[in-house]
Amino acid sequence: MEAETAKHATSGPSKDALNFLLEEEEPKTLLMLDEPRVIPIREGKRDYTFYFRRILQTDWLNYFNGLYLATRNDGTSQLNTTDFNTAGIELFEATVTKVVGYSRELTTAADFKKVLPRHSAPVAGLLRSVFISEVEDDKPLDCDSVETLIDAHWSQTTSPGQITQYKGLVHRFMPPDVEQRKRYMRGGAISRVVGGTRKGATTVYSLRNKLLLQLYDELIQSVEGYGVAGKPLESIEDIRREMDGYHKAEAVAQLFNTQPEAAAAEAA
Amino acid sequence: MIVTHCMDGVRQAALELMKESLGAADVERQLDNLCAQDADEATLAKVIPVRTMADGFYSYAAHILWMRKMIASNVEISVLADEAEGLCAIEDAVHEFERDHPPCPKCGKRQYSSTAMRCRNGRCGMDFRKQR
Repeated sequence: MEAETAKHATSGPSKDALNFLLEEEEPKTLLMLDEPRVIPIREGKRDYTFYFRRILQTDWLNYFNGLYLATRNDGTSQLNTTDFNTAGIELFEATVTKVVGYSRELTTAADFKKVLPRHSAPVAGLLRSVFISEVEDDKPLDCDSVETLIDAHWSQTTSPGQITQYKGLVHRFMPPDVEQRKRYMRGGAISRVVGGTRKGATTVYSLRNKLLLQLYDELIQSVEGYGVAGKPLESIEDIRREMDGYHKAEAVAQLFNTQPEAAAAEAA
Repeated sequence: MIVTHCMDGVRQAALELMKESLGAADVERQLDNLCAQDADEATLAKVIPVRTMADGFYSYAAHILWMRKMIASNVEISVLADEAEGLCAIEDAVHEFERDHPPCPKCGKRQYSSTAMRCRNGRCGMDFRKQR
């Protein structure tokens, strides 16, 4: 696992401009899961900093429950409807504790409703900034476990305007059995059809993210690159309890050769 | 309506999936030819088999077809009540598919129709009229 700082360009007020500053910093070895998360953005010449409490598994479950994915056939074309922003903004409002950069410091729930969606939506996206890792290694392969690697943005560290990217965070799982694979497949196959059964009807899909959290807890053996209270995360019980929900979903989904629906749709 | 509650829909979707699978190689070849001719989207869409059911039925039918294959391979797998209903619906679809698309007695390739004159396998090309 390695950590590096991300470079952030500055520009006008567009969504693309909500990027970060680059400052050199000594890379951290462990991603400390219990540290509050701080996300800085720059829009034009102004810096905004968003402080979050720790995002718990219940917060992620609420987020997953709020996701919406539907398809509808219209003639020969297929219309896909996805809504990840609403759930993302709700997650933002439920977990943010302080916003600095507006005319005054925002600290109450009523204040957080005033944060502009053009800020809250991309910041909520950064809270979910987890990707399949492209880091490759030549370590020997363990036939009794399956290793998946993810990269993640996490939080601002000591210097303002700087956010750390962790690369090659390791999750080791037992290989899933046929029942677990069946549950995974069933999880994506159940849907509700609205407006009749024929092709003009809308299909609202169930999303597998909640199931992925359960599968993670059943299959996880060890992780590398994570820490809590200044120590590496080691025991399985600790991993189940402390691991970030979004990291769980992203890591275990790789066992089934796919991304969770939320991440896949956001990547698309 | 939840897709697991409509077995007619699951049966129909499974039947269409099997028919799509039967013609998949030909459809792909046609699409390749049309793409090589810079055909427009409307022309390409005409080649793709039409689905008559809402999308959700196809995902669930595919799940049940996967389960059917596992069970046929003697893999022990738990079956929920709605999946058992789905397996029955799929069996009906399989019988209908096998009746409408009989295999060539010589090479075994399934035909597009039960009244085909000649085997669609170019290498076989068996004349079915001589059999009748």
